[in-house]
Amino acid sequence: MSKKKNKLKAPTPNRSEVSLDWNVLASNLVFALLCVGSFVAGLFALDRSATALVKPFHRQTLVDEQAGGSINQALHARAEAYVFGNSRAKHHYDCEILSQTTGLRFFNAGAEGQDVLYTRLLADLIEKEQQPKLYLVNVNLTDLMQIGYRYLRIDVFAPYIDDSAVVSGTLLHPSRGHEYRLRYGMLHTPRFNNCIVPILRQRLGHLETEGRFGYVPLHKPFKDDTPEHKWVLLVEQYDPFALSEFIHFLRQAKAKHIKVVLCMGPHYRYRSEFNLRKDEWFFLFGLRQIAQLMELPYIELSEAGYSEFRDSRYYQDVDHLNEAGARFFSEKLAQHLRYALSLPTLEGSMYKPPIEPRQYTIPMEYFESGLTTGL
Amino acid sequence: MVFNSIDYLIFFTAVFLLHWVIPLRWRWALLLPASLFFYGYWKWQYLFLLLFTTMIDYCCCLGIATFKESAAQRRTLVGISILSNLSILAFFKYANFFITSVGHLPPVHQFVLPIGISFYVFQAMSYTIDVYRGTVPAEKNPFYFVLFITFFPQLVAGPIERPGNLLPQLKAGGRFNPEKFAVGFQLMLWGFMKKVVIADRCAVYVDQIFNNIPGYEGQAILVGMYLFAIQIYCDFSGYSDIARGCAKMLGFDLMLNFNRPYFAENIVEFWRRWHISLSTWLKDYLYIPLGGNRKGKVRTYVNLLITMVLGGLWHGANWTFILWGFYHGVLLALSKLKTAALERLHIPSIPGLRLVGILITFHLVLFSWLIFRVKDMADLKLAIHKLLAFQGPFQMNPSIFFNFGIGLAILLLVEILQEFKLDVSGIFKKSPIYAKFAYAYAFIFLIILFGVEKGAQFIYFQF
Repeated sequence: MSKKKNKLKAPTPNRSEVSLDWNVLASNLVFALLCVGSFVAGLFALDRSATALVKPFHRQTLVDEQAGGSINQALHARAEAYVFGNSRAKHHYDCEILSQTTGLRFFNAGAEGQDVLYTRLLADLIEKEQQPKLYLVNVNLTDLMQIGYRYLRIDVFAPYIDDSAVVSGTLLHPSRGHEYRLRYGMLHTPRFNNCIVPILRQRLGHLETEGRFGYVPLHKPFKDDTPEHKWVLLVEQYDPFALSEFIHFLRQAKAKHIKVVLCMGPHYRYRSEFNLRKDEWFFLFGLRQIAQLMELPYIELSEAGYSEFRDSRYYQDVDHLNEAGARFFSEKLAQHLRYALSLPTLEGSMYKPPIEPRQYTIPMEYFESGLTTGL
Repeated sequence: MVFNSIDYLIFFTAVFLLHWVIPLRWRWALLLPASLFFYGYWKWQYLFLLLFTTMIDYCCCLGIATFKESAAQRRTLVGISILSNLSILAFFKYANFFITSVGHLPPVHQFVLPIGISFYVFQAMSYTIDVYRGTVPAEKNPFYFVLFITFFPQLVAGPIERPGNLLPQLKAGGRFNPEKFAVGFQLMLWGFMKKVVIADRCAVYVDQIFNNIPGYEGQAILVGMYLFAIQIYCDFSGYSDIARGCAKMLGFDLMLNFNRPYFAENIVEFWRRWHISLSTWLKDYLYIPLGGNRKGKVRTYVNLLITMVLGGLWHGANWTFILWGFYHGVLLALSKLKTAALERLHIPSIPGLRLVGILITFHLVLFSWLIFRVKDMADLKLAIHKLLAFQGPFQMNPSIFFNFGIGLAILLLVEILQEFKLDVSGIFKKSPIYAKFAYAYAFIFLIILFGVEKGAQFIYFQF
């Protein structure tokens, strides 16, 4: 019992603990600073060593999209023409068909869930070492509209921060907060977060890269597993950041004499009786406006123009064509592309009929500004 | 503020450095505002609620200490304190649930559930009851008392500290102890590893499966259950380890909250190892006051069921939590019956049966995690139906196993060694400073390279 009482009673601090003892304080501080200093120095040295060790291995890793495998594939491709976009680009654009028809060596650099920001950063890295002739950009509604996770998606470029001012400017931009600057700027190892397993798999398993020149065909039978929330109308509002970055990417390509062709693919819209939603019209006019004002060829290969794209046999789900659908899509696209590329000059010749200024949905200042970006 | 954020790292570093340079008697003046800032960083408006309930408890306890001779007045004051705590808990946590699900009426309020309310309310109640029982003296200094309730490492998800343990430490303080600092830092890194490398990685698949039960078949749901068992343990015990580690670095010892629960041989032992601060709270302040095992066998089982159902309800306002508590109550009652029967029949313990007991207990607990994790009773019914049908196949990206496998392998190794009574932390304590540095670096790089960035919040924050 007495033991219990003693335990409950607060020990009385002695006099030296209550009053400020400068000698003790100084010795404590010196010891703490020495420990912390040597620990941080060790951490810094190990961080740089780990980065130096991992970096070359990471560059050789061509598997696992989320660990940068698809970026490395694109950087190793040495192609003349690149397809950019999200999963709809990756699974729809058959590079063999496109290469045969156009005579250009194509590589499909589409990546799951990615958008114009990914395109901009990847194109900048490609242009550092290669001289591509053509960019085929598959643009989707989510590319230019407001989405919350846009910044998070591009963290996959972290291992390339030192290689490109555009990459470092985007990833370490002050608007992203101190967290990112601490994570990627001060410590370098976090840039390789989640990359170790793909590196080991690549080196130990000698895994082959996925797809044919980046194109990955889909084989499963059609299934509509789209969540209901996807059918709710999106806001008719562009993301100013995505829009300015996209226009900047187009300007930069033009400045480097790389031809850019904008494309729009089909959807299986049986739920909406094959009618476009209001926000989709809004986006479509925006895309046509960009093509018109920047004098770029623009190809719409949608279910509106081709009845084949209203057939579920060509789809794996409502957003993705299967292999047969992709073959049909690529064949049609290649024909259009041949025509679009054979035009004497791209300037002043639109593949799609021009639209009226009253149908413009993007504010004109985006086209009037110079080469400044949203960053 | 969450532990797994850069904000917390900056906050804690600042608090830690200031804590050890200012004189002992003024440390409360740092820790108290720091704790309030930590809580208010999430939603500062709820600080008033926290302080309001705390001050009621403080006044009631002072009153209880003053009216030593009057039992009626003491009872009234303890009643006021408990009623105010439970009223706030009932209003924010349970009012909407009972009104909408039992009364079929619209919700009474739209307030967000104050983070960690169940933890600090239970901690405050334990203080009031202990003062009433006379096991601890009433704290006269309001600042120390508020600090006891709001001490930031354990404020939002425990351990639910007892006044007899934490309050004297807060008042006594102590000198900087490098060994204690190293152990605290080791604990903190261990907790981060559990959370970021293992729990958050499992969460990716667990959320995918349990948020869409109709979209998955039995095999996938079973995999989801195993992953959730790993996730909830690593998430919650990881939080407790970080909390204990941070407190230790500041010179305070918080109680052990998890003691390798999945190595429990039976369900009674499981509850001695899982969320120890809650299970002992329920035993001391609910089960024993209800009569415990002193009023006959039937009352013992009824008391167990009441305690566990209320324990389930403590976790959240949902029928699934009530069922989860009831299920554990039944398991505890059956376990007691089995033990009594074995004793009566004088059956000796058979070597090797321990492993069987561990496996059976784990799988009984595993089923309870299904009840715990599903969204509602309809999902539970569907999940059980699919589990019985046991259809597949279920494809998973093998990278997920590689990524959390390394963390899980280390965790398992350490826990098995500890289970065989090998003092792993003792070895760490005795090791030279360069070995301690090596341990810290290894875990930092493990977390950085394999951890999930921007991972989920700690599961127990919602309670």
